[in-house]
Amino acid sequence: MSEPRADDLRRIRDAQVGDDGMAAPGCPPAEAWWDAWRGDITDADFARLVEHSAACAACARASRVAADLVRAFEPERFRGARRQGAAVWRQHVVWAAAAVLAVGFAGLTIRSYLQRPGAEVMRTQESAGPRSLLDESQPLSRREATLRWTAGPAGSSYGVVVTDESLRPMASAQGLTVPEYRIPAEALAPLPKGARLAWQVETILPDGRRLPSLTFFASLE
Amino acid sequence: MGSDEEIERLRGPVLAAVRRACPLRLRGLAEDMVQDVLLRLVEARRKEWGSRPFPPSYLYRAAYNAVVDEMRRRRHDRERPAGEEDLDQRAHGKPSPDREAEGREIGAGLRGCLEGLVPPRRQAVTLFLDGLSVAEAAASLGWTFKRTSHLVYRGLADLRVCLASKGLAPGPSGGAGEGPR
Repeated sequence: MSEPRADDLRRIRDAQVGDDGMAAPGCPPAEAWWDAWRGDITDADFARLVEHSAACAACARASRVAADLVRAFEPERFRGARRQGAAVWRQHVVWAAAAVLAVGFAGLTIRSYLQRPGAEVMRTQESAGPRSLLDESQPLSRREATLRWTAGPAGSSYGVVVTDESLRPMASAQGLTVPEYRIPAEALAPLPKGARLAWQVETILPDGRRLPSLTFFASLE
Repeated sequence: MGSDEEIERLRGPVLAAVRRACPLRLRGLAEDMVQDVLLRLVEARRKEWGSRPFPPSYLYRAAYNAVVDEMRRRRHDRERPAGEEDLDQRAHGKPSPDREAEGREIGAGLRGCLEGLVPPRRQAVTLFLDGLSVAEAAASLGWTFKRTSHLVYRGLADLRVCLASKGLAPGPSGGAGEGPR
């Protein structure tokens, strides 16, 4: 999208800023504009100043002088330039936060799927539950997509749930007697190359206690 | 920046800023205003700083404060006496009373229309009309370029509709003119 053309409206604004009004008692001090354009105030405070300058010609004048001079003298501090990356950075943070939430949600989903009412669950540190024996950097073969994890004490059984990246359950198994699970090929068929999987396993100890794992991830070749 | 010669180097940017921001009726005095600002800086240097160099940030800030003070002082001086018209004003093409009244009406209309915009559009448009590019406005507000561009376009369209509804549709020499592209 190209820069909009609004020379006429800019001229009107120029005339308004140039001719209307004196600074009023409620106006921010002139120095506030200098700080604003040097990026020394928050976005929210800056927005408030802009709101004020929209209706206050005297402050709009001060703002223009400050913007012009900061741009000329300290271009590396100029708010309109140096914070260019901030919005992008903030977007990345939002995406990262969303990813963290998604991972957390995946964990909760899988965990709730595995836990039956009334069962005692041992909620301890990472070491308490089974750990993946897969190298997450190595993609899973579609023909031999086998998940493996650390074994519990003799007599333990295992339950496992596998979801796709959108947290839709794809496969599950209960009562496994060996610490591994081969994902059925038909469950993987709809997934594209490189698709990510999330999986969680639960060890059921001989005395009935349950040890859920963390959520693990794998990608398909 | 440590010498009067270096202070003199402020002249260009300060003059440009003054010309863009100072009241129309004082624009012909911009050179004088800048000279006064630079003299104030030299004086401050002599009194307070001696031979010590100005930290650049101090100098820039001082220049800004001096410009704003000077603009306010001169404006105040001009607004008190009626009929004290400066020859400089005539020399620099002061508009006719009718033209001036029309300009004030349009300016007031623009302000009213700006106030009627929703805040995000108002903020984006205000910065844009004050001379920032869309990219600079986006960076200043901490928004994405796409969002800011959208707000500017929509805000400008709103302004034009609003001005037209007030019967203010000035032409190319100063009017609301064409829609955003």
